[in-house]
Amino acid sequence: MRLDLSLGLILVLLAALAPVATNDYQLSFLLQLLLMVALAQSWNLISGMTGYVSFGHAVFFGVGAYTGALLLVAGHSWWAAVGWAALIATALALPIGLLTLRLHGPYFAIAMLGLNEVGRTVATLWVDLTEGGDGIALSPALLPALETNYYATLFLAVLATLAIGVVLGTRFGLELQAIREDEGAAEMVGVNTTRDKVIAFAASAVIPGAAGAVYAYYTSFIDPLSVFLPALNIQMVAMVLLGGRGTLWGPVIGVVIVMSVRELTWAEFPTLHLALLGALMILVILFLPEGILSVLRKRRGPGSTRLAEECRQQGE
Amino acid sequence: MDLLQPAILLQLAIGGLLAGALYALLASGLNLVFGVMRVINLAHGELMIAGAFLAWLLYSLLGLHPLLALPVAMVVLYILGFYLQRLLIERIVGRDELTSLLVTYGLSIILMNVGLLVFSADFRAVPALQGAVYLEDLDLVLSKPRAVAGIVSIVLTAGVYWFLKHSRTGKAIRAVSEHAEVAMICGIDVTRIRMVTFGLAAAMAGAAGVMLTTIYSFSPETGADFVLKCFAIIVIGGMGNFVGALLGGLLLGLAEAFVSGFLSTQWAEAVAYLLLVLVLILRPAGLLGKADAA
Amino acid sequence: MVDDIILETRGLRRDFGGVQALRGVNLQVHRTSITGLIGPNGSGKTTLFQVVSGMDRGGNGKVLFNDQPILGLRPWQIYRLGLARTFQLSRVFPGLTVLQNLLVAGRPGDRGARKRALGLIGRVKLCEHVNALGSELSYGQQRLVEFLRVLMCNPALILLDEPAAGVNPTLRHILWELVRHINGLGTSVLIIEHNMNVIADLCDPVYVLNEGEIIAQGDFDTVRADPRVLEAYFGRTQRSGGTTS
Repeated sequence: MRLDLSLGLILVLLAALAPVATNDYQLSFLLQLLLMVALAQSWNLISGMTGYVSFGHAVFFGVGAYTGALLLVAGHSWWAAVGWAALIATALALPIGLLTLRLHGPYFAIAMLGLNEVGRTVATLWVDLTEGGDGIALSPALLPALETNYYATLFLAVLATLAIGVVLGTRFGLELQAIREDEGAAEMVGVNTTRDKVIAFAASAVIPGAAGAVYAYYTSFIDPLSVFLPALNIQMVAMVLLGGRGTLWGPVIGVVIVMSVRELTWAEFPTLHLALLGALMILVILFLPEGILSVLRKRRGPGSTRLAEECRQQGE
Repeated sequence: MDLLQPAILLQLAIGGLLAGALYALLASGLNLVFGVMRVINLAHGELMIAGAFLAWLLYSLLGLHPLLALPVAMVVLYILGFYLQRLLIERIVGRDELTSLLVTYGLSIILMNVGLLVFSADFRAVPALQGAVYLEDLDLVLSKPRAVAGIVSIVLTAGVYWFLKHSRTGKAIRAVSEHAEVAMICGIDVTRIRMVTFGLAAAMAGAAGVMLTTIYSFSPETGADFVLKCFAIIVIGGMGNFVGALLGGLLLGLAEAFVSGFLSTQWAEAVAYLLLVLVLILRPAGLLGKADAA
Repeated sequence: MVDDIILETRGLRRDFGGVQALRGVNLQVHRTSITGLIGPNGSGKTTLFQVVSGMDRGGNGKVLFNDQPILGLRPWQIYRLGLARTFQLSRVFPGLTVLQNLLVAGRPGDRGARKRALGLIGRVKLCEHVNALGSELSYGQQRLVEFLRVLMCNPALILLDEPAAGVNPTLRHILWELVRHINGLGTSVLIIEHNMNVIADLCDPVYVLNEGEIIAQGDFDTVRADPRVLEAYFGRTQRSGGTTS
């Protein structure tokens, strides 16, 4: 716990100082990296913790991007628009979660599979609101600076990671994990599974919503295909699975892997990057189902013997 | 134009049923795999697109007619499916459904993106069967490629049904589907049957892909839309239920035809998804609910 | 006398599409008793547990727990009322540690949960496994942990579904001791068990379920002498005697 905290602090400090030492291209790369951390950790909260795999989480990113862009155009300040983007995405997630989380795991996954496509279709067809396929171009005069976007993204990444850290240490996190391990047994030991799943699902939409808005300011142009992006779904799933689902640092490691693969292949073969991710995903699921982190981590911490001792005393 | 004229309704219905037959061919393969090994194959749509590109290659390089490409594609896809099962899918048989979902999701990503790498995201079509027939008695215009694709799909689906019902291998497949352990005790080589099943399903997907080339334009990304439709179909018709997939396919074809006739084609694309979610939610345990009682 | 009953089912039925698994079961568990439930395989014992615990929500009839109707409640609600159960096959959370397995089953906001959990683990001498994952335990240890888990909410009644099946003799001894211990502290127990020595030793009264109906009830000797019981078991696995408890 203390180790996690110090590691986290060092990383945040480094990230906070980065704008001083980087050019715009490098800062852009870091921004995208942090964006992925924010998204991966959000996905981790619902799918990593509970095992309810959401194949459609990009929809909340897309909704956030449109909310952020439209409100900025309508004259709101960027930070208020980011707040609204988070709120609208969450408000949308709540009814979706209430309906779909009653489905057993695999059925939930299938139901989520097309959700992003529905989002994209709506964004394309609702021309009055979204300008349809033409997309929305944001005038540079309205947009926050790159550094501002960078710090906003850093804030979201820290918030998402912190949320996982906090949840992992609480009873709520334990309940989510119990749902993943055996939902029937969890319910049989007093876990209100429906409530927990819906809360986790709604919470997992907050940061993708906000991140979508920041992303819109960062790119200054959005259209249905660029924010309801199928590749984003693939990346979220891959990042968390590769690193280790339901863990604090697994998704961060996953992001680093995914972004490295992307950097190495992006320039020449953007699709090769996704094909490689698919292959990596299969390998990890078959041979390291707990993710890459499970190789590095020792099962029993140093607290083990102390705990056993405490246990013996209690058992007297 | 008054949309409620009987002639137009009939036109829509026939068009819907023909499209539905293609869906049925695709979905019954997916359902067959699910029935035999409880694996939900998210890469089924990409197998279809593989068949489509094969037909497109044969047509543009050799000028081969899609109907002649059909047996070629089926054989190639059968072999591909057979070895995919052996190398990959066999490892996830018996694991939980989420594992199979994630592995086949990875497979679909690989296939789709390799497709994009090789063929680019451009849309293609095979303009081999063209034109329409006017049936005077019924006041009905029948698009030739749609009619051919529909009829071929019906014949193939019926053929596979007959094969499952009457052939020795077909009976073994059904035995494994119902009781894998019992089948094993009875001396059936279950591993081999699973390879045959996956090969068969891939061949059906490939055939659907070949017929697809004559009626739709397609790209490597088209498979994802179709796999979603397949799920709608098999959830409606009953997972693992072969005849159910046939009926579900026809139903979806009809629904889409009427929605695109009365609203727009883009909304028709959403029909499958809405149907899927509706059925799932009205039967929250899924149609597998009975398995939970154990 | 009514107050003395902690669990009562009245005319409890469960149909599985024409197959009647329970056909009007009337059963009473007295407070602080260890009540046995026996019957041939497929007689509906586990179905009864499924319905009473809320896992199977297709039952009809009446189930009263502490005079409160509970049919239709969700399993977690029933658990929090103080009615807990274990499963026929171990369902310990494989990816959680032993301690976590127990903690998740405690009452929310219970500050003494950790101490209680460690105390229970110590009692069954699993201390060196306190940080082990559920999947790393032997089957018998898993069953013990599963049992400890439901003790975390201090239940008034526990339903045990063949708790000793597949458990080695040493652990089995610890298990039965624990059942006696918690019963001594006031917890009532309803137990499905095939080993007649255990039933004779532990349970009073005993109910016999056959084809979804209670065909006999009373103390073990009465039940054993009942001709209907002999008939129900006739030709099936007769397990009385022989095996050790």
